[in-house]
Amino acid sequence: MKITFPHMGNIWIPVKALFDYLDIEFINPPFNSKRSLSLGTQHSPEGACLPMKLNIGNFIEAANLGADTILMTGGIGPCRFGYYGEAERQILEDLGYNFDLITLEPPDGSLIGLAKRIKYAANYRPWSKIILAVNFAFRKAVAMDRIEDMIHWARPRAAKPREVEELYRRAQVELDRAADNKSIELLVKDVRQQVQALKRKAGPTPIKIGIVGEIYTLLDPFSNLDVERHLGRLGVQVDRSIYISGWINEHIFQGFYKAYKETYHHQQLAKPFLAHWVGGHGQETIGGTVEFARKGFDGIIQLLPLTCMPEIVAAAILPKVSKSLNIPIMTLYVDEQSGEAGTLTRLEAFIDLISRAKSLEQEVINEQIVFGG
Amino acid sequence: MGIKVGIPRGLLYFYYYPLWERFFRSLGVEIVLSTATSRPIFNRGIVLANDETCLPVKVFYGHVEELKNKNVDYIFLPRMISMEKDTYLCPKLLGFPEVITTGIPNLPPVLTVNFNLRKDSREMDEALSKLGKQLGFGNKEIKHAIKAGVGAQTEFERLLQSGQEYEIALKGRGVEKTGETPQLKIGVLGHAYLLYDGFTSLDLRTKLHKLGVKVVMPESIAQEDIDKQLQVLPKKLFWSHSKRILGAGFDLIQDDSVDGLIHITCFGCGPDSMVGDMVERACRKQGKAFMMLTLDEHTGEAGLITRLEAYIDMLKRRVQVEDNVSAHG
Repeated sequence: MKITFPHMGNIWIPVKALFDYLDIEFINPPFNSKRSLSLGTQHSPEGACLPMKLNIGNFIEAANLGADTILMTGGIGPCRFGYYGEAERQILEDLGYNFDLITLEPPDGSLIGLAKRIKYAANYRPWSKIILAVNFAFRKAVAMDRIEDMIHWARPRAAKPREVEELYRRAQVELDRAADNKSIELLVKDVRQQVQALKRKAGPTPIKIGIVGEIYTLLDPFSNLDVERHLGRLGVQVDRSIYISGWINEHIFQGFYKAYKETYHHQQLAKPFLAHWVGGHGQETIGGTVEFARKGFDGIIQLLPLTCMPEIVAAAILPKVSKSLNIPIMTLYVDEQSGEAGTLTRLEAFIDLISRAKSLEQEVINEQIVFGG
Repeated sequence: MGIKVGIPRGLLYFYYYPLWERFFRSLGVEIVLSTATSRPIFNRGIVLANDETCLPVKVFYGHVEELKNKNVDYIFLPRMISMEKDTYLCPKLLGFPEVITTGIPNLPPVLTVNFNLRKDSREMDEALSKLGKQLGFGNKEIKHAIKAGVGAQTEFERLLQSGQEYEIALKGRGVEKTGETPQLKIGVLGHAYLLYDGFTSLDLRTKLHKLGVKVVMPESIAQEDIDKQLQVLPKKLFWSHSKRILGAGFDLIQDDSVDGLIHITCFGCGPDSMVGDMVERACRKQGKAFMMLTLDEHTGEAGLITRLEAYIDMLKRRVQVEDNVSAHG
């Protein structure tokens, strides 16, 4: 059995750790690229969303490296992603790839069925070993989230942006290599020290933007045209509404672990604007926006793949949130046609707008001080 | 003075109007329907709605806007979450009351209630009685109205599945059926709010009738057949209306008297992007002709006619001169 798992940002690091620990051969698909996207676009339904197209691209490229089994997460709707496993199996079968598909979900609600699937994916290793492997992989997921957030902090402050990117790349490689809990802890500490030691540039405190939206486009730099890096370089500290460990914890382990920046309260925060959940992360997008606004963030960017149903609901309601909490919000759709230059222009314009509003506010305050208002 | 409730003639109206109509009328509530979709309603909807949402949702905005000036006490925007065990409706419908009220300011009060029959079909009575209580009716009246409403809905679905034409089942007039006697039989798959909305679907059914085609719609397939066809899926589909479309598609593929299928969808429809692809794959394997028509606000009538004519010419050739070879090669 040579198992593969689709890419979504850094999720490959914990997934690889899981299978390495279980001593099962894991084929990491080549990282998302124009090639994977073009393969996926060619073979997926035209109206499917970007994540599915990239999934298909990943699987075809993994098959060429010898993968024969796919591990996917499932869902019971109403977001389309819940059906992607099965739809993708049909597409790949028609293309002549005979993958074995394991969907990590309780089939028809049966927990015994889920246990059987886990056992099968783990190649019948004993449960004690599986649990240890999951523990270890989850630690890596939390560590990854912590490192990503330190990078969010460092990007707008560093004098040489390249140093941050190099540090980030090194951290990814080292986290992948870390073989035990202790080296994971040491790595996180080490990254923190390096981030603090970076040479800083002079200038005002970075403006803060919260990124909310659909999980795949939020976590995957290839599909969101690397907005976090661009924003960082433009002097913005970002935070996002979803971190991978939080999502794994909430959806796979039902909140058993302690994740990084948990977001259980987002649904509650969204209630005044959207009373019912709408599948995917639609309600969390609203909740995340409310939270960022309350924390004093300067702006919000919503990311979503074109035709994403839950996020369209959120996008239609966000103008109300923007007005009532007085926070600028920009919605950024991505698909296979998105271009980096166009996106960059929009980001620059959005930041100009925020900085200008901020400096006007400052002027008013200064005037009040001068004229004793 | 009785209560006046405005019902927009779009989206779920095409699925559940008999239920709502009989329920409200039994309570003595006056119903004000928006007029059938027209150019002004359509254009107004496109202006008001979120750019990236799907066509029927955009059109729906136009209907709500029309009701705004009709002096109604409430606008009825139910949140239909699930109408069948283990399924959901589209996410866009789950967030409907909030989406519409954000898009159209200064609406009359919105009358809404959650219908969630995912776990238990008895929730239907629960939802309807909440609805009745919001309007200030007593238990006895509500109970009577629920019975009438549910009865009307069951009868509507029974009529459709027994082959009755949609408009007649909805107690209206049938669509025009002039032209030649049908030479072909085509299954037309799609959501009811596209298929039966004459303006939005550019009168697709009438056009097909005029071209000498007998049209079979998903609503006319018996529920048992749909359920039977869907058993081949390793994973159950979780959208109720799409289940009917997919099951009907599978059923019509196996029906030798059906010459081909047309899937009519709109740009941005999430469930259709999955279901349409599955039907197309099945068609290819069985050698059944298949055409997908995607509608959006830019769709032109001339282009649609050309595609329909070309498809029908091809089907006629297949029947008359060729040995029924698949168009897919």
